[in-house]
Amino acid sequence: MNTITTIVKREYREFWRRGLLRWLLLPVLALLVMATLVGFQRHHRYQAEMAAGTELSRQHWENQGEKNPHSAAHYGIYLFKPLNALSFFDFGVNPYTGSVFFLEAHYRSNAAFAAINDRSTLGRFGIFSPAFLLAFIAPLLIIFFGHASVSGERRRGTLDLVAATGSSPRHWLLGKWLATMSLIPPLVLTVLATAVIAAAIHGPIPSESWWRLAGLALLYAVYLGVFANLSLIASALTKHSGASLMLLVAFWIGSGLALPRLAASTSEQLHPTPNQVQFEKLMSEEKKAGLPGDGDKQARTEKLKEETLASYGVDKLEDLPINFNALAMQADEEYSDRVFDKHYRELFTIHANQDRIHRLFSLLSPTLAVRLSSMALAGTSPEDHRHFSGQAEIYRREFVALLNHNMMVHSKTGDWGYKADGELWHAMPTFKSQPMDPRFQAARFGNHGAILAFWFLISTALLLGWLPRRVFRRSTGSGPIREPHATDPKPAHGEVTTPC
Amino acid sequence: MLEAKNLSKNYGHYTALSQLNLSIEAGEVFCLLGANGAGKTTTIHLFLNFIEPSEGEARVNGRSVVDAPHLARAELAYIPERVNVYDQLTGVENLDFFAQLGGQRHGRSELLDYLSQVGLPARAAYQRVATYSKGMRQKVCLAIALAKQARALLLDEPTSGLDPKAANEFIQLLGDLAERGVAILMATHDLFRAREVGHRVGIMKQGHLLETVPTSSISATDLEKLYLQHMHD
Repeated sequence: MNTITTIVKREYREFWRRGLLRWLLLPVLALLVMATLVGFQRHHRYQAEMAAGTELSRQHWENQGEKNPHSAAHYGIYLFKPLNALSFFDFGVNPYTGSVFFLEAHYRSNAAFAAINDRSTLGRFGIFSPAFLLAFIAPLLIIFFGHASVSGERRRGTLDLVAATGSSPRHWLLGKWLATMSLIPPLVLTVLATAVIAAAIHGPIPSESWWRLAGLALLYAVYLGVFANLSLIASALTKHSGASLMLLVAFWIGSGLALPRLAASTSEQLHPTPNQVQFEKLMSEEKKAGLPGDGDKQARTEKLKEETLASYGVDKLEDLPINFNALAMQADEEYSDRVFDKHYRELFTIHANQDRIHRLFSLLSPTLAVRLSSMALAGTSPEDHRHFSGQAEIYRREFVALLNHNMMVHSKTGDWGYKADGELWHAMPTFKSQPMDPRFQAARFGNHGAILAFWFLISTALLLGWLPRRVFRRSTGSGPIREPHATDPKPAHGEVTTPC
Repeated sequence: MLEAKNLSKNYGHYTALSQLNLSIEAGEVFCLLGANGAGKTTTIHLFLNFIEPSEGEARVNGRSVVDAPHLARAELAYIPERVNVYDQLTGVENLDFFAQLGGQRHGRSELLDYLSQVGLPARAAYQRVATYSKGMRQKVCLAIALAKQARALLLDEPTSGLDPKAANEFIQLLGDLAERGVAILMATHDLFRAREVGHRVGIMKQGHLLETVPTSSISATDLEKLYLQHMHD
């Protein structure tokens, strides 16, 4: 243990004296502090905007005055997607999906006003968040610290001197590993500490979110641990630190930039997402023409008319005690919902298939694995968006049904002049979103987290299990330095018993 | 103390060292002379177990370096041709680090004493090694050997790149170490220094030890003639 501590201390002394801590680590820590504070501020600004928007939308709804319920159904109402408290850490898909839903009759709402649309072209290169820094910038930091760890010593010749001391190569690598790994806690703890301060300034976040944040810190620590392991492995297997740096940067590009894009294009190629215009056109046509065996809109309305007249025992629509037009609109609405459900189910199947491709690619890319796990844990994943979108749609259907029902029972067929008053608008229940089932979230997080854990365990096993037998091997030689073995003859009393 | 028995190293069809038989006693300085590629460095690397022998064995104080590398290296100190200790550490920090790697813990005054014994001024001991000359770095390595209480010292071209004064000082320090009972194996091109410090010299060519000569029985001029004769054969 003393030997390992000695090695860790020497590494740190070198980090400090080479200025690596000052010029590389400190700026990244400062960026993390800034990103966390900015993320918090942004989150709280959005929460305030959301609360104001929700309040304003409700006020407009309740004060729209006397109006025909169907007109009110097109007047619509806005829903604002609440952001998970941890969206300050990982924005996930939120900037791309938008967060405002406009609900009205006949149309299933998709979110609008994506934040990314308000950005300049340069702003689209990346979003400054703690998750972005930890996923993309921190690995580079680890690479810069670790790439010359072994190859640099080999080049300078100090590796031979270390080997000649009789020091155990496993202890030596363990010391190097601990020194490199010790850079990780400051990175993740900086985010946690800044979050505590930011929560004190901007207001508390739910206690459950603190657990999730701790989980995110652990997740990114494991992820950066993978890069620390790979940096040391590459450094030990290459002759020159330049070669190990090139290899590691290539891996960083592959894992962080190339593979995620390849995953996206492969999944799109294998499971293409329908074009939005075509998708909506198809639904619109199917609403009119009807699903197989259902007949077109006119036939369906005619059938409904006959059934309604029969059920009320009258011959003419004018004799009905209800407004048939409202009943037909509601029936059409429900039919549209069936068409929507069918097409969205297909769309979600496509998304699920695409997600499967991403998961497969994450086997090769720790960055992809950490991004998917991170979004799942932060509640900013595509699934979270779909979950909210589904709730918004359920609310829209209830909202339209309530208006149609009011018109149906309070007016007669053909009475398009009927107007409801504020009592109806006030009777409309407010929207309350339900959080996603934590078991589902845990399962998704577990899938990607397991991939990351696999990367970490394999790379650690390689580093500390296999590499010690090779690390002191000379490029001119063919045999490794043999590890001391339990069966080696023991020194006699009074002889040197230390590894040197 | 240092013993090679039929020690050989082949890389495919290339023979780097062939059937070396050698024994160096405690307090003896043995110098290996030879052109580049003669097998001098290979011999040292085999004693350090940096490479595994193709045949034969190297022993340190009776222990095979392959079977008990842990114990064999406990007896050894090594000074490579490119003497590079850690640039960013001071002389005393380097000494402390390598001593601790070797399992030895010394107080600051002891460390300074070791550095002083090899002629490194106290002021230099607190300067970063990046500012040291090669001679000063070698002194740090010798101090490491002292602190380790090594019983055998392996040196690879230690005087190459040293100015005559520094080389002379270094050779004197080797003589002092030998007087303390350290067995020294030195690979060198420097015939003059080899004869000056060595008790015996061995002339190597293409992996073979051609001849071993006690330095007490040969003049510098005759040693040079003998060496050149072997090189031209």
